[in-house]
Amino acid sequence: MRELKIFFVVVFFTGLVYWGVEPYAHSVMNPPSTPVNFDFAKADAEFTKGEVALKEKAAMDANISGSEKAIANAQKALDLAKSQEEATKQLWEKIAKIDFSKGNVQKGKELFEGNCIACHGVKAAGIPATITDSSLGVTPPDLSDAGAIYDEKFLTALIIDPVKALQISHKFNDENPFLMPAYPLSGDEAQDNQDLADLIAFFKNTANEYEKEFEAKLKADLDEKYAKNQELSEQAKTALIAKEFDFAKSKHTFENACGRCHDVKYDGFVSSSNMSDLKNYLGMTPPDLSMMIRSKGASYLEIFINEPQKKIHGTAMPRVGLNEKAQTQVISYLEKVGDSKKEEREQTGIYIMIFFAILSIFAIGWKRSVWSKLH
Amino acid sequence: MAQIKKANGIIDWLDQRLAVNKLFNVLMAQYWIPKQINFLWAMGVILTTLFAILFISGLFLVMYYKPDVALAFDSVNKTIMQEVEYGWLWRHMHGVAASVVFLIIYIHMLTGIYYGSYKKGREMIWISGMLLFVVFSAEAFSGYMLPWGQMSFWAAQVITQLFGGIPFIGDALVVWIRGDFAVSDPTLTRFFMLHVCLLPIVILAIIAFHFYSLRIPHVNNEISEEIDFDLEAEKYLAGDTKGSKVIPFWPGFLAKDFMYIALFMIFFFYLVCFKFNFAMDPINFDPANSLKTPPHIYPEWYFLWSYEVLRGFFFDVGSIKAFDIGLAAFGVAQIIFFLLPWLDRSDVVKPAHERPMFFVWFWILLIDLIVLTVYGKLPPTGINAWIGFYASMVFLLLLLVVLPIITIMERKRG
Repeated sequence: MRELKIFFVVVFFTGLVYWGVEPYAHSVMNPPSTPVNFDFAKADAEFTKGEVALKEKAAMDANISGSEKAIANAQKALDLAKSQEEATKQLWEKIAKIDFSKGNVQKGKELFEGNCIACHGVKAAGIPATITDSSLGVTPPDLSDAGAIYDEKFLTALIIDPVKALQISHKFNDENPFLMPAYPLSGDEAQDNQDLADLIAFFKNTANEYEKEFEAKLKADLDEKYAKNQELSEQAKTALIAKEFDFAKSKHTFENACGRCHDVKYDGFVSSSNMSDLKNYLGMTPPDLSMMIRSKGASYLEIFINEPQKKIHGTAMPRVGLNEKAQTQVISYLEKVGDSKKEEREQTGIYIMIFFAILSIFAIGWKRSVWSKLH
Repeated sequence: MAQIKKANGIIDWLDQRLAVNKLFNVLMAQYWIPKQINFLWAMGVILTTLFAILFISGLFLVMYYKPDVALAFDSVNKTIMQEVEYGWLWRHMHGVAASVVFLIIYIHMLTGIYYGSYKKGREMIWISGMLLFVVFSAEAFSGYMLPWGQMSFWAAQVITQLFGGIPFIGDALVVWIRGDFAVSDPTLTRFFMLHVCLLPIVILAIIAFHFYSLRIPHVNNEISEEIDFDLEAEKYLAGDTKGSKVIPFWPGFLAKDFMYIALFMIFFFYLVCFKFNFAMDPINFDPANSLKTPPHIYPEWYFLWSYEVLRGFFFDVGSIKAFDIGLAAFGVAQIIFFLLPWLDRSDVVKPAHERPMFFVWFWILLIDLIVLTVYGKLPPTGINAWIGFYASMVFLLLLLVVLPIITIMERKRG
C-alpha cells in the first residue's frame, strides 16, 4: 500500500508538470481561434468587424499619443476599414440574391470565352491556357476543377471582387492592383446575377465531367497495375487499390488547390510557378509543405486553410475558398506525405505493448518466486 | 599461471581463465542491497535501461544521419522517418527516451534528497550523480541541435550566446564554441561529434564511477537505517534469508527491478508509438531559418526550470545589467545541487517525513521547481515575469539560505 501511495504522488506531480508545460502553456501561446467556417459571408462579416476593431484601437492609441500626423493616419486607416466592412457586406448581400439553380452552362462557357481566357484555361472544356508560366507572378490556374473544389459563393465573390474574396486587401489596393481584375459587371442587377449563375454552372458542369473522367482513368490505371500481380489475394488487392485511389484523388485536389505556390518535396511534387516569381508576387517564398502536418498539426491546418488571417494576421497567403470536402482531401494528402508511417506505427505499437504486458506477467511471477524466500 | 585443468563446461572454462564466478559474486550475487526499499530505488536500473536504449537507437540513427546543414533536416525527417524500415521506431525511441530519461533523473534526484541519500558518507554518490546530470544535459542539448529544425537552430543561438556573458573571454569563447561567428555548419558538425562521441564516452565513465561510488557506503534505504552490511550478509549466507536485512543484487534486487522495467516499458512504448509529440516540439519540424525568429524561443521541458532562473531577473539593479544577474543566477542553479551535502548542516540521516522542517522545505522546493518549469515556457510578460522573478528568488533562497538555517536548527535541537 505504501508503494502505491508513493506511486500516486509521483504520478500526480509528473502529471502536474506535463499539464503545465503542454496543454496549459501551449494554449496560452497559441490562443484558440474561432472554429472552421465554410460560410464565407459570415466569416467575412466577422473578419471585417475584427479589422475595424483593430483600427479603432490604433486610432485611440494615436489620440493618446497626440501626434497629429499619427491621428490623421489612424483615422484614414479606420475609415478605410469601415468602408471595406460596408463594401464586403454589400458584396455578400448581392451574392445571396443569385439563384444558382438557374445557370446556363452553354451561356457560361460563352461568357468565360469572352472574359477570362486572356489568362485562364479550362482544359476539360477544350479551352487551353494562354499563359502557362508564372511570368505574371503566379501561374494562372486552369479552372477545370474549380466548380468542384471551391465553394460556389466564394467563387462568385472571387469573380466580382478578387481582393476581398481572397482577403488580401492588406497587400493589394488601388496603388498596387491585384493581378486578377474584377469581372466587368454591367450594372443591371438581374443581368449580372444571371451571368454569374451561368459562369458558375459552367464551372460546375465541367468539373463534374472532369472528375468523372479523372476517376475512371485512375481506376483503369490502378486495375492495370495490379492485374499482373499474382502474389496478392483479391482482398488485399482491392484494399491496396482503394488506398492508392484515395491518395491519388487527395493529391489531385492538392495540386489544383495549393500546387501553384507550394512544393511538397518529400512527395517529389514541385510547384507549377517559379519560386523567384512567387517571391516577387507574394513578398516571400511559400514554404515547402512536406512536414507541415507535423509542424502545425491537422487542427491548425483546418483553420489556416479555411481562413489564413485567423492564424497569421497579415499573411501573404490568400484565402483559398475550398469547400469542406476538398479541404479534407488536402489535409489527408499532407498527412499521408508527412506522416506516412502512421498506420505501421500504431499497429506495431499495439504489438510491442502486448509483448511487454506479457513479459510483465512473467516478471511479476519471477519476482514473487525470488522474494518468497526473502520475506 | 594458475593451474588449468580440463574444463567441465563453458562456465568452468571461462572461470579458470577469467575468474567469472568470483566476478559474478562480487558484482551481483554478493553485492548487498538493503531489503527495506521501495520502487523509487528501481529508478537507477530504469535509467541504465533508458541509457542503453539511447545508445543502441543512437547507433542506428548515426547510420543514416548526415551532419551537414543542407542535409541534416531531410536525413532525419525523410530518410530516417519515412524511407528506412522502422527508422521511425528508432528515432522515436531515441527522442522519447531522451525526454523520459530526464523525468526519471529528476525522480531519482528528488528521491535522494527526500531520503537523505546525499548525506554523510554518501557524498561521492551524490556528486557523481550530479556530474552525470550535467553531462546528460550537455548530451541532450547537443542532440537537440542535430535535426537542424527551427527550434534547434534558435536554441543553439541562445544557449551559445550565454557564454558571451562570461567576463573578459566571453565573446572569443562564443566564437570558439560555435566554430564560426554565427551558428552554422561547423557548429552542427562539432555538436555532432560531441553528441555521438566525446560526451557518451564521458557519460560511460561517470556511470562506471557512480556505480563504484555505491560500493563502500552502500545504497540508502527507506527508513535510512544504518545497516552493518557484513553482519547481515553473513546472516544471509548462513541461510537466514528471511531474517537478514540485506538481499543480493542478483537475483533479489534485479528480480524486482526487472518487474518494474517490464511495466515501465509498456508506458514507454505507449509514448513512443502514440504520444511521441509530447517530446518533440512541433516548431522543430520547420527547417532552420536564420532569417526568421520563432515567436517564442524556449528549451525542452527538462531545462525550463533553469531557463526560468536565467530570465527571471529581468530588470537592472543599479549598474548591474539584468542579463548578468540572470546569468549569475543560472550559473548558481547549475552547480548548487552539487553542494547539497554541505548546505545541509545536520548530521541526521532520515527520510524527510521524520525531519519536520526539512519536510516542509522539500515540498516547497518541489513546487517551486514546477512553477519555474511552467513559467519557463510561458511568455515572460506582465505578471508572468514577476512570478518568474519571485520563483527564482525562492529557489536561490531555499538552497542558499533556508536549508543551512533549518538544518542548523535541527542539529541544535538534537
